[in-house]
Amino acid sequence: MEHPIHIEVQRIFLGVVVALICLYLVRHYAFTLNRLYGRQRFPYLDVGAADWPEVTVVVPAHDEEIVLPRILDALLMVDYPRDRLRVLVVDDRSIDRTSELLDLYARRHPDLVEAFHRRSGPAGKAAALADAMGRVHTDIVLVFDADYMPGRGLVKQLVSPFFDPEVGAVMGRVVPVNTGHNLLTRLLDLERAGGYQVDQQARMNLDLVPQYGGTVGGIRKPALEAVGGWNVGSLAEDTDATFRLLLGGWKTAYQNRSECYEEVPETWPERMKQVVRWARGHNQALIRYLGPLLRSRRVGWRVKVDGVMLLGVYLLSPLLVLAWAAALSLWHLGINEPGLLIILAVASYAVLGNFATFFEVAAATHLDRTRQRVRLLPFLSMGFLVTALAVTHGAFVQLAAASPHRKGFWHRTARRSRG
Amino acid sequence: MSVTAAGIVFLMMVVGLFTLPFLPALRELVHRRDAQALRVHADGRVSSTYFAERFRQVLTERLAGPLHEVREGGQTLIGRIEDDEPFVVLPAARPVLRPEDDGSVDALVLAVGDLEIPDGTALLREVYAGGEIRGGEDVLARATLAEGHLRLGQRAISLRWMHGGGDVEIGADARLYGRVSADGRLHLATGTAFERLHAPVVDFGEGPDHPALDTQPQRVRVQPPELHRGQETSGGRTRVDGDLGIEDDRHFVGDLVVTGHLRLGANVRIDGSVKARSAHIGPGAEIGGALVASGELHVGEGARIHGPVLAEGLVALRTGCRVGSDGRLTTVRAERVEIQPGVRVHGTVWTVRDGGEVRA
Repeated sequence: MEHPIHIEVQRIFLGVVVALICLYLVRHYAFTLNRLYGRQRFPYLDVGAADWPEVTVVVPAHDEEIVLPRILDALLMVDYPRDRLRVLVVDDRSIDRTSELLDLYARRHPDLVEAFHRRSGPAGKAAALADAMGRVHTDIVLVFDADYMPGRGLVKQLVSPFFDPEVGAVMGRVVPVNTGHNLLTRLLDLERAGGYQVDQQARMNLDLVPQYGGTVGGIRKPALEAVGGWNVGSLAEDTDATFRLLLGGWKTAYQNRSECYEEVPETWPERMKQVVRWARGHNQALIRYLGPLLRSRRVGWRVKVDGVMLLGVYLLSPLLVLAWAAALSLWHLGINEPGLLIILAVASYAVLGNFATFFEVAAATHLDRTRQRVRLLPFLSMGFLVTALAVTHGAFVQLAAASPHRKGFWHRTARRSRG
Repeated sequence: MSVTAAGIVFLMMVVGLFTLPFLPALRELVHRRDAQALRVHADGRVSSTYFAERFRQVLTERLAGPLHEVREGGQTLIGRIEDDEPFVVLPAARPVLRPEDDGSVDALVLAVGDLEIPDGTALLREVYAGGEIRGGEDVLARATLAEGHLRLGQRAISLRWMHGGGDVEIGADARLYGRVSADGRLHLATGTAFERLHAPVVDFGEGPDHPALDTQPQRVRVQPPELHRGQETSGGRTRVDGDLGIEDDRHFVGDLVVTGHLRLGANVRIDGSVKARSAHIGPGAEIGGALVASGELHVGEGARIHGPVLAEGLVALRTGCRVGSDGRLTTVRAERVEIQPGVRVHGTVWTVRDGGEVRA
């Protein structure tokens, strides 16, 4: 029986979303099974002795008086040849005591700490990094957000992949330090574990697209310059850099055992703001790089599939919400074909609500050799639901307010100096 | 049963099944048995001498008294430490260890001065000497620390770790599990299998440092476009899609990435780092930076690699190869390492799965 066009469109849309969700389901399982049973790759892990290259650690800081001394103290302690290490702190128009504290450290440690007080130019981390690169005279640049706590061995671990001339960026593992604060922080701890311990490492194992996350990581400056430098207009300069490097023939290496503590949001509104920011930046990257990635003759099909799925990960939530609406609409219009509806419900449940993602997180806790925190898994449904709604909201707002000339600004999570 | 009752039972079952997983979740939320931050490896991977350093710490904290007593009194001391572990402390005047009839010693062995270990001795616990350790043939040691030189004869077996404050010399056909390190020169004879080695100078087997190669080859400089038709240079490196061969006596400046197999001819010199899927490095070739492969690396006679050598497969180093240099230590890391006699590495040799072997 022929249906009117609007019904056909909804049916096709529903079918496409179901197929997409099934693809992501396969991806989640493939990554998890790879981490549990596949060959694990840590090719740069054991470089203990080497002629270490000169490196600059850039710390972008905007009103970071609470946490700045902590990260600078940690960087003063790192195990790296002192004459080859420089810490460049970008004080980007701070109005608290960040400038004063930074100057104090720069005076006390002139051989190591350099202060860059940025008072003009576009706002935002990407713009601050872009300006900072003019003061970087080393090929290797590590970036730490000010609320991170690098351990003694972290700089060497993050530098060692750069001995490989194919590596353009390196990413370490982020571990929440304020895990036990409340239910949200505990759920974020589980999500981070799944994302790094399973997702990122599986991509590394399978030689796909580990993502440079903008902090606890590093960039090869000549590589970044060769692909156009930091994209000042990007809301997610890290994802943007990941894909430009990929298209330029550079690899991003993930170092699962290069771990660093961070503070995760402790309130739901903060968390939602963070997710919306990530989603908007990611969707920007999707629009910019989907076409070039698909057209690239340098990138192999496996990497293309992973790259496209990585780019599209934040599009899934709004698509799912629209698909639910389409399914309900079809049902009310009398198109009672439960097949698609059931498939959508089951697949959605499997991807967002239960098995695939949950399996991934559970596998991560197993790999981390933790025992009890996996019991919180059922609460993750709540976290995922909030994330899905926040991402959907962010996507629609982004669509409504799309402007190529929007001003940059600093989005940051509230600091508390835990740990 | 009425339809209403059945409906209520069904509803209760659904609610029950839904809430069931939340019971352990709520319990964990309330009791917070696993709410602390994950422990991170803040110091990175442990150093090659990590176990030796920890053992030194144990000696200082728990065995300083007995060592001092024997140093002052000059008599052998037998005792037990707090956790009931037996120990024997030998004075400097009597450095020869006396094992049981079956050749075993089931005690911590501490020598104030030098220590001599008879042939066939099986040391089931840690061994320490304030001076040198001289071991015979077929010695089995669990963990060994000598503040001076450490020498073991043929067919020695080290189960966990071994460190010498001076030189370490291991006889032929030894089996070295875990870590072996030296503050001086570490020398492994032919036939020895190993896992992780570290020293400023690690020599393998007996053989010439440098085979008879042209030490001053006349090299012809090649520019990136001459390498390969499909090459591309950006960001300081030249990338070649597919296989690449570079003829003998060529000189290339810059980093080189080859997505296929790389074959460097004899005496080729690369002033930069090299990455390939797999590579054969010709005899007498020289690489100024790192040599990296996602597969196997075969390095020809007398080749010199100044930076780290990293492979996810086999690394084979032929006679006369040198990796690193004096005062510029580096790392060889691979799934398996095969080394011919006459190879010298400055720094670390770290195998991650199948071990390594010195084979002629």
